[in-house]
Amino acid sequence: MQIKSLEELKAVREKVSAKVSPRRGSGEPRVLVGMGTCGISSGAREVMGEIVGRLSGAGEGSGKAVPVGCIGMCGLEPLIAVVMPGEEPVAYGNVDKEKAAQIVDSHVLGGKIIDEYTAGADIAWRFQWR
Amino acid sequence: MALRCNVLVCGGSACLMSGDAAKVARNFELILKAKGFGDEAQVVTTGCFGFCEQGPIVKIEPDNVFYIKVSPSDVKTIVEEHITKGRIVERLLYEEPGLRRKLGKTEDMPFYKKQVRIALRHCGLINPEDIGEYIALGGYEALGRVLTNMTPQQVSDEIGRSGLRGRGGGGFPTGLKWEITRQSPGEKKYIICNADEGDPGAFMDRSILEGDPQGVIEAMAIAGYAVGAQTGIIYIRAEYPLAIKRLDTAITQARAHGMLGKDIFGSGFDFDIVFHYGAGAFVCGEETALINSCEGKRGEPDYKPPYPAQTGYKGFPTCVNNVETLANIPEIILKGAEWFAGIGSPKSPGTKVFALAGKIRNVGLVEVPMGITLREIIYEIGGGIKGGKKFKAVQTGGPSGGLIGEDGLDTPIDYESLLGAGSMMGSGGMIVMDEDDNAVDITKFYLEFALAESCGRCTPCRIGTKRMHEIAEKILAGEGSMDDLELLEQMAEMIRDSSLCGLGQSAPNPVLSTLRGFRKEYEKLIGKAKA
Repeated sequence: MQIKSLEELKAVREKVSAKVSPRRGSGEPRVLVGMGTCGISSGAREVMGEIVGRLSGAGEGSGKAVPVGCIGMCGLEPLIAVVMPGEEPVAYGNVDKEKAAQIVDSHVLGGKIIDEYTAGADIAWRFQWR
Repeated sequence: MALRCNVLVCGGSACLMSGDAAKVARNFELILKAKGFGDEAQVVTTGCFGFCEQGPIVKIEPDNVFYIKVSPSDVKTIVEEHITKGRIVERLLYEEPGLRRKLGKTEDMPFYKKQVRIALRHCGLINPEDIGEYIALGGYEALGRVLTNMTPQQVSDEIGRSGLRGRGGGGFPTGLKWEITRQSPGEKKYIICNADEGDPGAFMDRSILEGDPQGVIEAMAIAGYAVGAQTGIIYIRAEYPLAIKRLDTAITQARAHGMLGKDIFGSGFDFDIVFHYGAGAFVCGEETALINSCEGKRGEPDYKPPYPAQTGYKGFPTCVNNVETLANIPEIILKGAEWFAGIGSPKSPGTKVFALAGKIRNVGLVEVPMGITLREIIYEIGGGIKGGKKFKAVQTGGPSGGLIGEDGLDTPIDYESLLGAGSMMGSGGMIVMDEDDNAVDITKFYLEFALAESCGRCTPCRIGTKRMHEIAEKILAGEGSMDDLELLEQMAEMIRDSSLCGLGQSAPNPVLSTLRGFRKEYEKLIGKAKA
């Protein structure tokens, strides 16, 4: 396609930006997803998919999903942690697709922690911080 | 499932040769697909990461984990452990010697900590064969802005104010070169990209072309608009096949997107690019010799003036810029001259790419702000001397430069300071020598290079380099006398002062700098001869 103006260039850029989006964004919120065997068997991949989909739908810079290893709390899997820039991590346990969607909308995009889903501060530090 | 992960595999020449980077990439594709991650993870073959000593390199994003020396058989582990379960594969991480700690993130690694990447901004980050990725990261925005909002004079003024100087080694102000070409009368004008990288041990330009060809193409179009040229010529040595292939792909894609060709961005500006292949003659990096070679004549230099900016290719005003110089242009347009001028040192703003080679631990490609000291580059970024040996000297500027010893290690990197230290900036080769190397032997090597590469047009260079080489050989063989030393010094000065072009004028530099800094080594060899 021939690009003939800065607006058209911008349109092309938006169309292709998903391809490179995992490669940028330090300073963005990060959602760590426990992807140990127990996490995966209780549905972490679906949770991951939901989070990635919602974050990319919210536009560039809204956040990144990062898989992390088992944190040794199998009963609470799938476990995720939200790390907002400059803030302490917050862990959520027994997350499913619906809860993941709510957590992304409320906490990552809106800055409001959903207290009833949190897994407690003692769990949060167990994540393999990156 | 949405894309969540990018697997970046280095596709620079060094990684392709040091191991089997191409097979690593292919294995990632196959195994990811087989494990059902085809939609979640994307494999991208990128340009050089710079950490060539530790190749093949694989980087996983957004996790920001950096794996080294990855073999095709490691791929299954990375997919099963890291991409499936989020567990980092410790054994493939870089371990800083003496630290006894594995480092997974690039920003923790001393090799990357002090680097500032402008010319290399996309190397190791994007797929050089996909214009989409270049556009996604802001590519062609600079060209669009220039063509729709700026006059040619504003463009050359902007580059002038940034203080950018020629990165091929000469250090001539780029904005001024553009302005002279723009003002020179001529019914046609040309812009030439000098990709005839010839210094032994230098691979900066090759890596830029392999890793970010679109950046150079965009810059050439911007330069074309600024000076009033509609044709760009890339003069590239034929022994850079991967760079040529990626440039060729990039040019085809740029044409398909309307970034080259007629009426770019609807502005009425036409610009296109052709190749000229060089046969790998060192002298053809000199701009008048390069132009002669483009015209199909022998690659020999001409007298200056007139300068190419006045009378160049086929007699028309021609602006010749080096690859790395051009690679800086789009960022300067996007971020502004003041931003660029604020980096580096006042007289030499910006950054410089260096190819670290020789007896240094982290052989590779680095981009550092001007003003950084040689000591910081060699000991902090480069990790010091291999095998715990003692540092002897560093050669900057290739065969045109000189050896800087221990006492010059705190020299800041900029055009003037390096000249003051008896060497020169050059195009960016940096060869490190340890206590086992002999200064006379090194000098002989560079003289051998100069004598082979002398085009023969002028006598001081043609005959002089041969005679200097003979004397160096004589001294090395233990047959030299103090008279030979005096003759060598006298000849070096004469050749420097009377040669036609930069090759001859700078060929005695290795001799002069070693006679100054390492005279004892000559005298020791002569002393042995007497005894």
